[in-house]
Amino acid sequence: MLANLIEGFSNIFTFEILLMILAGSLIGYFVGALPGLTPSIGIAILVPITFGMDPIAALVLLVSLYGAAEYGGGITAILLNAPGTAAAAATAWDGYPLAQKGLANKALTVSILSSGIGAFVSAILLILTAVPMAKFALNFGPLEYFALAIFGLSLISVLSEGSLVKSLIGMFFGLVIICIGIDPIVGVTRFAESGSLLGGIPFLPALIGLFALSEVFYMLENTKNEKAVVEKVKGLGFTKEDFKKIWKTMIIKAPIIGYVIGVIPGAGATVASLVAYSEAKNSSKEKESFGKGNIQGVAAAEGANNSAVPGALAPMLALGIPGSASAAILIGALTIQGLQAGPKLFHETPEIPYTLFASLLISVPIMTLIGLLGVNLWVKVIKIPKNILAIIVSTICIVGAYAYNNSMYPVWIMLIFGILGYFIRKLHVPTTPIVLAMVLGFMIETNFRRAMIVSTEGVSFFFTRPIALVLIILAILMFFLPLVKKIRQKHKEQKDSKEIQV
Amino acid sequence: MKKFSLLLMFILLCILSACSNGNENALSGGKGEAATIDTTLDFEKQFTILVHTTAGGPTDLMARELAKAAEEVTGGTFIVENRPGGSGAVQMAEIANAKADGYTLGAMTPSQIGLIEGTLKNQYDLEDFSWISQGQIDPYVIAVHKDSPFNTLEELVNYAKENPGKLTVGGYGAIGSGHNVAWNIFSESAQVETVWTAYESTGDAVTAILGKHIDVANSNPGQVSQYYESGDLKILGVMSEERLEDLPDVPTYKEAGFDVDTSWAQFRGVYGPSGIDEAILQELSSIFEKAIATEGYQTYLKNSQMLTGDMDYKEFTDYVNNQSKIMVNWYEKLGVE
Amino acid sequence: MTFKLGNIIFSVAFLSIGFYFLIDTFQIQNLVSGNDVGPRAFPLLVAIGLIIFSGINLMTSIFEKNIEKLKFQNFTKVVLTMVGLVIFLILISAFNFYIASIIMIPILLWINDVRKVTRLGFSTVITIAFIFVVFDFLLGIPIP
Repeated sequence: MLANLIEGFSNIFTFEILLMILAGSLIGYFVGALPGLTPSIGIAILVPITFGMDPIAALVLLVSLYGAAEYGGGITAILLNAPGTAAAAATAWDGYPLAQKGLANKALTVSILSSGIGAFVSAILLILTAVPMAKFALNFGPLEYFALAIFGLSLISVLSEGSLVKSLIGMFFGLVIICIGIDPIVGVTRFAESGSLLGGIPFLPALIGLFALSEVFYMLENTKNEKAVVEKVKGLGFTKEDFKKIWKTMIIKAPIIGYVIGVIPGAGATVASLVAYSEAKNSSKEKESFGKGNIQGVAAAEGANNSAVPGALAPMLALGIPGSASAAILIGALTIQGLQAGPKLFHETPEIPYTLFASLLISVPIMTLIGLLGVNLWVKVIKIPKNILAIIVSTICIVGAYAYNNSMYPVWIMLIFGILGYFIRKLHVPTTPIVLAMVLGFMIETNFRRAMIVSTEGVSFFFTRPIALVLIILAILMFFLPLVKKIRQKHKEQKDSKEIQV
Repeated sequence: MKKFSLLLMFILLCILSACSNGNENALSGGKGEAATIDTTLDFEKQFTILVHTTAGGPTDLMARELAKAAEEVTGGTFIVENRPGGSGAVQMAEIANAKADGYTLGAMTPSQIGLIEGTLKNQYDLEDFSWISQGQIDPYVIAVHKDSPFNTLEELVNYAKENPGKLTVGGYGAIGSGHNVAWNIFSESAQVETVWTAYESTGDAVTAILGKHIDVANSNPGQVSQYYESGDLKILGVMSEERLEDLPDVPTYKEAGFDVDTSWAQFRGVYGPSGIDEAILQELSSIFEKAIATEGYQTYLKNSQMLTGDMDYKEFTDYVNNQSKIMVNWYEKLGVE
Repeated sequence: MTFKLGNIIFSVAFLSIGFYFLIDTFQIQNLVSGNDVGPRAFPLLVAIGLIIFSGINLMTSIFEKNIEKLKFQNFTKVVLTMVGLVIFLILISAFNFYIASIIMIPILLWINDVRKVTRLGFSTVITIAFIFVVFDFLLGIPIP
């Protein structure tokens, strides 16, 4: 393995490959940062121009783009509350409040550092465990996916601020609207007879609406049209104390969570960032500061969504199974090159996967460096007066949503959800549960029904599948523990106030 | 700082233009040996093939290989553009509204027929399009895990007969999808009752069979052959008239004792808007026929375990009509609207 | 408008969405095979969930005693911008993105207090140029 890796490194240090890393990272940044353009769209755009290239150069270009795009999503999430990718939604929860406090530099620095470190640690995990982890992922059948999705949904009680009833309304609303369209198992139509609605309500445009566009309307409320404050900082605004506070999340927890969830095909970066964020919040001593600008939240979310990238490569390289939508396109790109991802790749052309591994170890530091250099440039974006910025952002959202599938339908969806988001946020209805439900709802329904169909013996199958059982128990704990804690705290406060009165 | 960012942008621009130049060179490689065909088509003009999936998918690959081969044959320029969205509806609308001069064409699969007979029934008819050439056939195969007790189709069918409604079969798409209809054609002839499990892609179904979550997977050869070679999966039968070159040990359904109509297949081809002049249709059809016969295209077919399509536009139109009939028939049988 | 009234409107709106979907669920053709629960079960379940929790929220907000005001700052501007965006999208469908944005971006900016002609023109040109360069030119993404 080591010999292969060394050979891989020797393949990288050519002008062409290093250029590919640089180009991939730069294009990835833009693709990720623009709302609506996901990593998979970015890869799909570049695939045709990789035709004439050497397979290694092509793969390195596309993988660098994939990683940088997952990071780029965090930039606009922090600066404008406009997550460029779905996986960056969790970054916005703490990143945007930080930027509003004038700490945009710090938030961006934390996000790029944890992305870089996360991706690096996860790349090492990938090199060491690609094959066994990919085999482990095969254990995930319909029931396990169902349990995983339920676990994801149970995070609502940790993630959402304020009224639980309102969170649940949001959740059920999200679950109802994902039913619109063609039923995935038997193919009958639901709530739609014809037209674009048959394709369902697309998630990404809805997310852009709920986050970015509703924030645009909030920006316009500002009568004085002032610029955002950015505190003058030396360097990048990141201190030793900050590092001490978040190193565990940054170096250990987020990368592992991101890698493991990334390996499971179909779960992906979005679920990884949600889980890592909830874990950070749950285990923190300062729970109240989450959602109001805690750098640990940014580190957890960004670290995990970038670590999911090498994770998604594991089943792709070892078994030829796509771990994510982007990995699926990468498999296509390999096929064009006359290569087949899967067991054959390691046996017949080991230089390909090992060069890819080596390129990850090189491209991640390069990506981090470019990101750090960009921090002070990106911050300039929010120095544009708010009213002008708001109009620019909404125009970009329109073009981004259009790129989702080259039609006006997702643009309308975005606008509707933007207006909805503005009004429900006024009433302190959290938008997170809607997003969570839309990400996971489809997974819950199809996999539950698939599990029912596949099991010929009935519901008892739950107890014969340990992974699913553990996930379900975790889900129940995750949902109720924070509630119990909240209630206890209330009791305590009431007691305290009574004692004071006495 | 500013200078640095400008420099980076400049590098980016250079790389992009370099990449696209390289691409053009690669594509125009065959221009020198332009064949002289008597023509009403002008090969100075650019041809565009629209694909209804994202880049990198099997249909996209077919279109790109076909375009490359057609450039070799004609010396013209064939550009492939992706128009994903609406399960193909976006691309279809563009094709339907395109000028019927033969320069705008689309890649197709049974999805287009499915849309015409299904969700877009009120919008389009088969006559609204010209069916030009069949690029390839991707036959269906039946695969099981290596630990599965079944070694032949017969054993599988015997088990299914003894345990009706127990055998779980996974494949791409809901009831009424191409894979589902293919399985139904088989199970009807074998007179067994099984449970269909829909997956979002053939790849997902293959993943499920590798993890032993389903008993049988209905797939295409390209998706399972490497697991067949590595011994992880067994392929029990192929839905085709003849055995496949790359799977010489796998019997056809007929050889295994199940005489089914094998005209139902996953095929990919080229179509265009209706109203294209007869002479131009004939010409396009023969261009693609020659393109399909080129060495490059044949190598690609062989690598991806697909069968060559050999139909001119008339045969292909009949073929499409026939596929549509089978589809409508099965839609009614299965109760899909 | 008070927070209480806003809450009641919200609950009623989502309650009606719940009922709308609940009634529509019965229109779904319920094809059930084997152990499958069918295409109707899940929408039915979640529609009921939506109704229950909207109902609870309605009840609690009716009996809410706190009459905090719901603040809408600059409400006319925000609503005008929303309407402006709707017109923007209609114009894009009718013509194309560039024509629509040359008309609508200055109008949207004007609504939001950018009144100086130079500033207005400059912002519009920069936005359109940015979209052209990044989306159209560099990435080759189709623009509406």
